[in-house]
Amino acid sequence: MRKNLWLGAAALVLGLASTAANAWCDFLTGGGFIITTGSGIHEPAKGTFGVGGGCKHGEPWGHLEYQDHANGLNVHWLTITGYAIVYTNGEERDPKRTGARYICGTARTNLYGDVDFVVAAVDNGEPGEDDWFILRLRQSGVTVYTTEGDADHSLGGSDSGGGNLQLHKPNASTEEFAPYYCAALQ
Amino acid sequence: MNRRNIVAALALSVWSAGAAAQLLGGITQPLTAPVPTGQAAAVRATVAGIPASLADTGTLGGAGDARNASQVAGSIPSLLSAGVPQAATIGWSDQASSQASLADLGMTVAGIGISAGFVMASATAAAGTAARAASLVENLAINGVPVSVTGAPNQVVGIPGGSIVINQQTATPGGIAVNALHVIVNGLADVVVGSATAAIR
Repeated sequence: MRKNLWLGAAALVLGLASTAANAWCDFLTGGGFIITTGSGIHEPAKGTFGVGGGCKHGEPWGHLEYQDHANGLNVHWLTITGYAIVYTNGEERDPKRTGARYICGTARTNLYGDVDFVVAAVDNGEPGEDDWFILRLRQSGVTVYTTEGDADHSLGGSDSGGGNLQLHKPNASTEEFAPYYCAALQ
Repeated sequence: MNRRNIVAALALSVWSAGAAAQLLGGITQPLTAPVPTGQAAAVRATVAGIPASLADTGTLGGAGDARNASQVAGSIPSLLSAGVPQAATIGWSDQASSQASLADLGMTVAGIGISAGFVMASATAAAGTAARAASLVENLAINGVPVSVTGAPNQVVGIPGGSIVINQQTATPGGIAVNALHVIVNGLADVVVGSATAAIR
């Protein structure tokens, strides 16, 4: 199982290099931790997060909080500018459907000042240990922090029980078209 | 409108009401749409009668609503600190779903130290199915001593002057409420870490 997920993770990281159009919208929420080196800038340590994404009445909706326990990085969202569907497995109304989403916006950090961010969040089913969280922070078009280069994006790393990401179906508030902009993917 | 027309209108009105009642008498489905309710909070506490919370969504505004709350770090003075507290609750015409989480919990209540690496609660209620809830509590320790979390609902651990209920699940009308950690010190403190409620009715 994990081997297949690794292949998917690689594809997802590559996918971060491109933009995506927002055809329609749903929700993704969750929290947890990854084991990150910040793509090789420090020894493996916890990266804890809480995240939400979606659309509400024609506007992108969500939040992002992140802490890197090795270098002390704190990231607090300021705006959500885009929510994009990368892929979905299962029908829209299937409560067990899985998939990947990009959540984009701006954030304030204690190490880099204000940044653009993109989160690649993947719900790979329950209970959540195979879900993935990938973060990229960019400033003026330059990546200042990313977990894309980490060996393992799954929640909890090699241990089980590092949180959960939950994909939710659309509701009435997602029916209006929401603008999509993702500076961190440019 | 003359008197005859008024009588006719009243008669029509009475017939319509009676006919409607007759027709409706055979219908077993509820006549009003189900209403989702929900709320989530990373922390909700009352200590010495003083309430406090972290990342509380407030009450869901019905179907088509989505509410969230988050902080990069939060604390309640003299009680606890936590990293990345966050919560969300979402409503649909046939479902409600809520979840809350935080990391790096450090709490001292009545001289008892309680810590956890990660705490999460989630609840979902959907029309026509049983409501479901789950909790995740990583690396729980009381006064530095690790506590084995079974995963079963309503695991109780005694502490001086009170108790800790882990994965506390309570059925509510049309739904469920779950508290990942519920710390009770009798007469002093009532602290819920990771609270999620969801109902549809």
